[in-house]
Amino acid sequence: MYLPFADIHFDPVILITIGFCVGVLGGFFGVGGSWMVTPALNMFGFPMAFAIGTDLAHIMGKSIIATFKHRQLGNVDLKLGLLMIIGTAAGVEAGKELILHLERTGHVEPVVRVIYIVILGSIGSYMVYDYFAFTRETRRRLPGLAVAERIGSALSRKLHDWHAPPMVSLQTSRIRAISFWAILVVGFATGLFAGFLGGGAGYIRLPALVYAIGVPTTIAVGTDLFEIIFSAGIGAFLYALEGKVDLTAAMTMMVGAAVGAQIGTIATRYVKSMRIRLYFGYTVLLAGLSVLLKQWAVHTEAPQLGLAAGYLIVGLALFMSLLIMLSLAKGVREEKR
Amino acid sequence: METAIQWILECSRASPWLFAGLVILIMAGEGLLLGLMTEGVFRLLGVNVRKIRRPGA
Repeated sequence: MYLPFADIHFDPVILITIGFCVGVLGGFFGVGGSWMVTPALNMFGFPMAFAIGTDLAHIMGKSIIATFKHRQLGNVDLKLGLLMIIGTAAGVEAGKELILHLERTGHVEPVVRVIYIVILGSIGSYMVYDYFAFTRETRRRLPGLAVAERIGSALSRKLHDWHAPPMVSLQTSRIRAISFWAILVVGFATGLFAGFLGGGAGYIRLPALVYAIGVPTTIAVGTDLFEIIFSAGIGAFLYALEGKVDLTAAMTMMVGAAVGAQIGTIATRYVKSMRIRLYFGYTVLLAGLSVLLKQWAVHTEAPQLGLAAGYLIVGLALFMSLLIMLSLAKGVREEKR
Repeated sequence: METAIQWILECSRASPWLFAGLVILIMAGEGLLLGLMTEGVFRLLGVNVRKIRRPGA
């Protein structure tokens, strides 16, 4: 298949498969998936700038499908999403300024990679730890009962106790009152990372919604996707202005993503919320390991390590999509019994 | 289809703003269309997500 915008030939089956995998992951975790699509496209021969631009365009379209589906399930808190966008926009701008400052000093790439590793490592480890600690605690206190979800954290309880007016009530997220400023601060922090580290930063927004705002997991997934429509849309627009979006590739990927996003979204109905967090934690941890490999490759000037990092991320996406589909199949089978 | 792609390709060179706007409109439109289509297929297969209960969460 000839892609006229990027002026390259590309296998459409690879495009549809990438779209499908990232669709499943996006619908299930509420992430855009730029951490997987960009290196995958680049690995299979897409020029880097086109890989990013095309990825952002496809993420925007895919997030519309997934948000639409999550909205049907009552998983999108539109009020929270819209309020967060204000803080996110300011945060993205601040993050971009920080990047430009680092670029002038000539240390941008290693600094970004190290922060990326620390952030992904901390989020992933905490989420995995939280799952096992909660499961152990519930089994001890309530033996024989199905493990429910732990909603909120010490941080979210502190934020809920901060009574700086105006106070906002979020019915969909089951939050009686939270300060508008708390939402703005969390939005700003996630935007800062998005602007600084690139992509939609769904891997930061989802845990921020769960642990900082205190939103139930599935509603955090839906609300995160709603925000990604805007963040990826702005990114796609900016890359398209530079002519760095291959529309034919993005449209082809969307065919796979449309089916994948529906499957991922439906799977959130069958998989327990704490397990969604556990899978997310593992995914983020392994994504962090891939960045670590990439940094190591630069440090030791060993390109094969960089290639291994690319394969790790693509393998991870394939494995997680498969795991999510198997969990869905298991859930359907159990329901039919 | 090819004529339309050719026209958009020329747009991307002549008017970046128009091209950027078209990218957003086309991707949003395709997203909505595919969302509705796959939803229809799922319904035909008998999958109605609204009726699915969440397990223990």
